[in-house]
Amino acid sequence: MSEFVIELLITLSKISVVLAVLLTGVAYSVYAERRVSAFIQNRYGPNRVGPQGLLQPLVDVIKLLLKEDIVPASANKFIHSLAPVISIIVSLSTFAVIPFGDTITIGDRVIKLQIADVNIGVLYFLAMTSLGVYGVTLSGWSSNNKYSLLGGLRSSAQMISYELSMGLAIIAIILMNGSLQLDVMVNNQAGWKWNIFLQPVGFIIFLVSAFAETNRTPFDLPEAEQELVGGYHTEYSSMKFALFFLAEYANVIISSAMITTIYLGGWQFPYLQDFGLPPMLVSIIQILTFVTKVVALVFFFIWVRWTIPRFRYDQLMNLGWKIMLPLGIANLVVTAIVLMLLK
Amino acid sequence: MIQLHEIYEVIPLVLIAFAACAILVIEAFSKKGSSAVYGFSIITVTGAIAASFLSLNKELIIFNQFLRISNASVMFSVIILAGILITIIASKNYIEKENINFGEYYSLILFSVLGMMLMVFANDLLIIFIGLELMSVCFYVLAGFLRLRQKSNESALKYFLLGAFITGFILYGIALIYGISGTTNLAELYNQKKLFTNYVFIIGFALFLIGFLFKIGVFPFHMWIPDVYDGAPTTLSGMFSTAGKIAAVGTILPIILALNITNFKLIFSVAAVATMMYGNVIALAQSNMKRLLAYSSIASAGYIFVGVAAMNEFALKGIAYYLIAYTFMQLGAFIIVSILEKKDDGSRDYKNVDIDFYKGLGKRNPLMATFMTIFLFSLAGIPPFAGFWGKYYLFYAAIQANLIWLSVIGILLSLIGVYYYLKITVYMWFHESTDLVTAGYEKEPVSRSGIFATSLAVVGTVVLGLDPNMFFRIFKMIAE
Amino acid sequence: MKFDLETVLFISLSVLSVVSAIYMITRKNPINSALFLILNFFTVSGLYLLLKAQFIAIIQVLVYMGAIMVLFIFVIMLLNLQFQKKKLESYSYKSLTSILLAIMLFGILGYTVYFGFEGKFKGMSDKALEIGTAEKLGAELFTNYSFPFELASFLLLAAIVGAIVLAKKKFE
Repeated sequence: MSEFVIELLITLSKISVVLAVLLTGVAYSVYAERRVSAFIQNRYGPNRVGPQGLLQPLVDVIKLLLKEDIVPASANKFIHSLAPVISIIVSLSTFAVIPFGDTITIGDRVIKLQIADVNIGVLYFLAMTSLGVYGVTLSGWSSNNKYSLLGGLRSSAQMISYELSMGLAIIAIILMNGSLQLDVMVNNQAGWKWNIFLQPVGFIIFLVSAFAETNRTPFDLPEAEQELVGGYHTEYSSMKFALFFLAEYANVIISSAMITTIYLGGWQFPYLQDFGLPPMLVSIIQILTFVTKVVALVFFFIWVRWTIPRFRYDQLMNLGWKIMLPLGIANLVVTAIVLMLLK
Repeated sequence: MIQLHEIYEVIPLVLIAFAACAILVIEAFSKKGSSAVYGFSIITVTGAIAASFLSLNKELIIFNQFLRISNASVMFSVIILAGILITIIASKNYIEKENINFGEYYSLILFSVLGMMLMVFANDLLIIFIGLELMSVCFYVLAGFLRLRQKSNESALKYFLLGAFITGFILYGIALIYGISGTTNLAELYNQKKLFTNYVFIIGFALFLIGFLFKIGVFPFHMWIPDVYDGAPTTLSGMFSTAGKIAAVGTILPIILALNITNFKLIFSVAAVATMMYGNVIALAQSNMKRLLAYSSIASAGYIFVGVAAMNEFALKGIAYYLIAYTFMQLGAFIIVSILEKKDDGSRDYKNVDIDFYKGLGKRNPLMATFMTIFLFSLAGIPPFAGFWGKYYLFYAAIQANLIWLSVIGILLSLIGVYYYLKITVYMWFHESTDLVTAGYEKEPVSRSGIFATSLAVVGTVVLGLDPNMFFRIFKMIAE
Repeated sequence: MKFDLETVLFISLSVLSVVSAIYMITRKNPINSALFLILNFFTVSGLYLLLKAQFIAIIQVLVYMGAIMVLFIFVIMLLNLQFQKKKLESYSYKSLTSILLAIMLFGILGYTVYFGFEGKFKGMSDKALEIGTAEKLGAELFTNYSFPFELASFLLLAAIVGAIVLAKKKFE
C-alpha cells in the first residue's frame, strides 16, 4: 500500500469517527435540552423510551423520517430543498479544523487528532460561519411566506452583525499567537495559560457572538414564536425540518468546540505531562478533556436558553453594533499595545 | 522601508488627508449652519497650495518608491488645488440654496482631492488605482448629493455604473501589465525595453488607457459626460469637468511620454479629431446651459489630446497652460450657472439653466453677464483671454510634431465652437428677456461666495491671457 | 501532461467554474443567477487553493461568498425581482452583433495569451509557494506595501462617509 492510500484511509476514518460522534452528540443534545428544560421548569421531560428516556432521540429520528414532506405550492422547490442541505453541510464541515486531541501513536505512525491541519484554520471557521447565512436566508425566501422571509432576513442581519465582533475577538487571539492555526493556539495554552484568563473581554465578546451566530436565546429572533410562528423554517416539515434542527444543534456543539479550542485550552489538561502516564492514556485523557469542556459549554448554552428572555430586535442590533463592536476594537487595540510593550 | 522624514516631502497630501478626516469631527461638534467647516477647508487647500511650492525642483522618489515628486507632478497638483479652491469658495451659498449644507460635502471633496493628488504623484500602478478609486468614489457620491432631486440621482447612478465598469478595465489592464513585466512600479516599467513587442502588454496598456480616456471623456468613451454634468450639483459639475479631468490627464500624460509610444500617435490624433468634432457639433444643438458646458468640456478634452498626440516638449507646456486656463474659464462658467440657478423648490429638475433664461441677462444682472462673457470668450479662444493662448500652444505643438493636418482640423472645429459660445453672449446682451422669464422673474439671490469665486476665476483668465508666460515664470521664480 | 491529482482537480474546477458562469448569465430567475455566481466564487476559491494561495482562497470565500453575495441576495429578495423576460429575442440584430464582438474579443484574448506567454511559463517558483500564506502576505502588507495599505483605509473611509451621507442623512 502506498503512503498516499494510507493517509487517505486515516483521514477518511477520522472523518467518519468525528461525524458519527458529532451526529450522536447532536441527537443527544436535543435530548439534553428537553431534559434540562424540564428540570428547570420543574417537570419530567422525556423519560419513557428506554432507561431515563435515553432512546428518545432514536425514536424522534424515526418519527421525522416517516412524516410527510410538504413543499408549499408556491415555493421555489429547488431552493426550498437546497437550503437545509446548505445549512447542515456548512455546520458539519466547520468541524474539520478543530483539534480534538494532540497526537495519537499507533505503531510507529503519529496521527494528528484533527481532520485538516490547514494553516488558516481560524479563517476557515469564520468563512464557514459566514456561509451559514445562506441556508437561513434562502429557506426564508424560497418558502414564499412572510414569516419565513422576515425570519430569514432577521437572521442574516443578525449573523452578519455579530460576525464582525466575533472576528475582532479572534484577531486579538491571533495577535497573541502569531498564527492562524488552531493547534498552535491550543499548544500555546499549556498549563493554566488559558486564553480566557488572558483575554477575558475577548472571551465575553466571542461567547455573546457565538450565541447570536447560532440563533440561540437570548438572540433567537429569527424563530421568535410569538411574532414569526417558527421563523425561517415555518414551511418545513419531515426530514428537511430535521436537517435545520440538526444544523442548529450542530452549530451549538461546534461553537462550544471553538470556544473550548480558542479560550479554554482545547484538549489541554493542566500538568498532565508531569504524571508520567503512558502516551496512549495521555491521548485518551486529552480527548476526554476536550469532550468534557464541550459538554459543559453545551450545557451552558441550554441553561442560558431556559433562563434569559429574548432581546428586542433593536436592542439586539444596538448591542451588536454599539457595544460589542467598539468593545472588540478596544480589546484589539489594548491587546496590541500590551504586546508591543512586552516585546 | 518608509522613513518618517519623508512625510515632510508630501505636506500637501498630509494636510488634505488630515483635513478631510478632521472635518468629519468638526462637523459633529459645530452648530448647524455654521461655516467653521467652510473656512477650515479653504484654509487647508490654500495651505496645501503654498506647501506644494516647497516640493519644487526636488525630483524625489519616496515612500518605498510609491510616490514620485517632480516639477510636472507638483504643477498638476497645484492646478488641481486651484480648481478645488475656487469650487470650495463658490460652494457655500450654493449648498445653502440647495439645502445640502453638510460638512460631508467638503470632506468628500477633500477626499477626492487626496485621490487626485495621489494619482499625479504616483510612481506605482497600485497608487494610481487607489487614487483613482478614491477620487471616483467621492465623485459618485457628490454627483448624487442632491438626494431629493431625481436628476442628481440619475447622474450619480449613471456615473457609478459606468465608472465601476471602467474601473474593471483599468484593473484588468494593470493585472496584464503586471503579469508580463513583473512589476507595478512605473520607474521599473519605463526601464524595461521591448515591452511593446509583447501583445499582452499592449492589450494591458490599452485597457489601462481606455480607463483614463473614459475619465477624461475622449471620444468613444464620452457618453456619460453630458448626463452626469447635467444632473450633478452645478458647482460640482464644474469640479468634475476641471479637477477630475486634470488629474486623469496629469496621471496618464507622463506615462505616455515616458513610454514614448509613437505607435499610438495616429490613434491619439484620430481620438482628438473625433472628440473635438463630437463636442463642438453636438453642443450647437443644446438648449441647456449645463449640457452645453458639458459638451464644451468634451471639446476641450479633444484639444488636450491634440497635445497628447503631438508628444513633444511644446505639448507638455501647452497642455499644462491649457489646463490652468481651462480650470479658470470652465469652472467660472459653471459657477455662474450655479449662482443663477433657482433656489431649490423640491422639483426634480434644475430651474433657470436653459439658455433662454440667459436672454437679456446683461440688463438683469450685468456683473454676472460680464463675467460669463469673459469665460465664454476665453472658452471660444478669442485673443485677449487665457483660452486663446492655451489653444495656440496646443496647435503650435501639433505643427511642430508634423501634425499640420491635425491642427488645421482643430482650428476649423474650434471655429464651430465660437458659434455657440457667441450665441450665448448675443443672447445675454442683445436680446430681451423672454416673457416667461420676466413673468416668473425673481431677483437672483445674492451669492457672495459665488461672486468672489468667479472674480478669482476672471482674474485668472484675464491675467493669464494678458501675460501668457506668467504662469511658467511664477513656477520658475519659486523654484529658484 | 501528467495526470496527477492536481491536474484532475484543476480541470474539474475550471469546467465547473466556466459552466457556473454561463449558467449565471443565462438564468431567468435572478436568485438562481446569484446562486450560480456563488458557486462560481467557490470554484475560483478552489483554483486559488491549487495555486497554493490559501489566504486569498479563504478571503474569497469570506468576503465574496460570505458578505458581498449575501447583500446581493438580500437586494434581490427585498426588491422581489421578477423573472427577466428574454429581451434579446426581439433584438436579433443586437444579439448578432454582440455574439460577433464576443467571438472577436475571445479571439484577440486567446491570441495574445497564447503568443504573449509562449515559452514564458516555467512552473511555480518557490517564492510563489511561500507568498500565499497569511504570514508572508501580512509581512509584505505591513512593510513594503504599508503605504498603499494605509491609503486603502482612506478609500474605505471615504466610501463609508459617502454611503452614510446618501443613505442615512436626513434631507429636507
